[in-house]
Amino acid sequence: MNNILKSARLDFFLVLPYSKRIILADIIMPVFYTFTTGSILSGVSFTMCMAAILSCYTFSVSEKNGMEKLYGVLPVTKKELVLGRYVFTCLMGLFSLIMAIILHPAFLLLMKKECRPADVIISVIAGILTFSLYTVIQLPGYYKYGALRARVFMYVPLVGFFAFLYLLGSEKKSLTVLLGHPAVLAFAAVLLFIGAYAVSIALSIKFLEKKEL
Amino acid sequence: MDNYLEVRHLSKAFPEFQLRDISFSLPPGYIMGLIGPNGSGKTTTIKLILNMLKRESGEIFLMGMDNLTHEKEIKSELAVVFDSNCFCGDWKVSQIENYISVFYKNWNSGTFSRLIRSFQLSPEKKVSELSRGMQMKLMLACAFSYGARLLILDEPTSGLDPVSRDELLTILSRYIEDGEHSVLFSTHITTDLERAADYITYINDGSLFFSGEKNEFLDMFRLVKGGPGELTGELKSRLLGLRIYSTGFEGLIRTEDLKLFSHLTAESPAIDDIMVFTNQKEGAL
Repeated sequence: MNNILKSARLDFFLVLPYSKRIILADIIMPVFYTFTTGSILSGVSFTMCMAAILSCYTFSVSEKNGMEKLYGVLPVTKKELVLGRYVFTCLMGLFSLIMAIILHPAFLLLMKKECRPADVIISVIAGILTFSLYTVIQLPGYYKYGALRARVFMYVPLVGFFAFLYLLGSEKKSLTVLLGHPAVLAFAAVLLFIGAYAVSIALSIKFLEKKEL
Repeated sequence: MDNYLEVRHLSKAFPEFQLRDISFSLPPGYIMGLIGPNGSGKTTTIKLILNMLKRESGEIFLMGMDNLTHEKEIKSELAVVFDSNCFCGDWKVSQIENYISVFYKNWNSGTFSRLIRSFQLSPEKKVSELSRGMQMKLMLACAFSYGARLLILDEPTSGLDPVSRDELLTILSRYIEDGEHSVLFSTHITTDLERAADYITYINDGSLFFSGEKNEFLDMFRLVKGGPGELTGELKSRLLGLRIYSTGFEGLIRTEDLKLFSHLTAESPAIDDIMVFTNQKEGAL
């Protein structure tokens, strides 16, 4: 196992004690949201919003426990620590997405509500897109200011989610057009995923390397 | 390899504090006490050694390797115990090994289990439920489980009771017995060092006051005592620190100056005496 995966593994163990809270907020609550709205698109988006918020537990838990000392003595570079955290964050997003696309359609079908395969595909793409957007902004913010001072970044996914709902509700032409073209949406998601993460990771490494622990 | 730790002309500036031109070295098989009052620069020096702070100038070599270019190699042979717990408070003692061991290729599970038993650490307890002494022992158990050649302790005894402090010193003495391990031990509780340290590095107000063998350090000074009439102007000018009582005085003097005042009672000072007297502010005399 390389040092990036070891760091991601350590992040997993960092949030493991909070797993019940995370499952409740990231898996169960969004299912009820989908049940209430009957929309898998907004339900999956809510899941990814919660996943982005909860992925920042790694920062708050390590800061609360003074773990910068541990990170300072482990035989890993700061770059590997940052990459490990991005890997963990993406894996957490992926896990949330997989759970959402299993549970939400199942729940809708159980309630005898409509859930077309195309809706699921669009929800997955939109979920990846929004999760990427939230986390590429959040993570450098946390690296620059720390979990306590950068609390404002915790609200990035919430603001994004409400903006998404607003655009969805008002049926703005641009979004309707975008959602009507899954291929365009998928291309945008891939582009955003690669480009934005590259910039975000570079910024986070720069911030952590400048930081004195 | 000559020295496990070599610090050369190390400097670091903060807005309100400056560490200036610190140099010292620690050979294999010895314990070095890094002493100085609170805020003198001990932790800053340790953080610079660990590359947790960026130095302004100077060089640091650990096990013969530069601490910037060989950070990973160095850290896999270096163990650090801080003054406070560095693990997540929600982790259980039994889980720590699983979480940390993957980072060290020389991790020895048998050693870790043996140490956990011998330190009487309850495997099912959370880190946050352990006393300060037990948390320190847990950090030590990890530190000793991957064959680290150099152990750095940053004020580990400051919150410990005398029994735990004595245990720690015994552990450290055993650790260096084979001549292949060394310890850098930062503390302001200098009685611990009277017993355990071979070398002393004394940092005062960001500057190096002394670095060398403990006995040489203790031999450099004498504690002189006398009656009220014996405190002359010349003696005052030679004293590094002075305490005046209604019955007389006591002060710290360099051993080389003692021959000028052979009529006074002189005794060997403790490390504490040297620190206290050399820290008296200007004008205190």
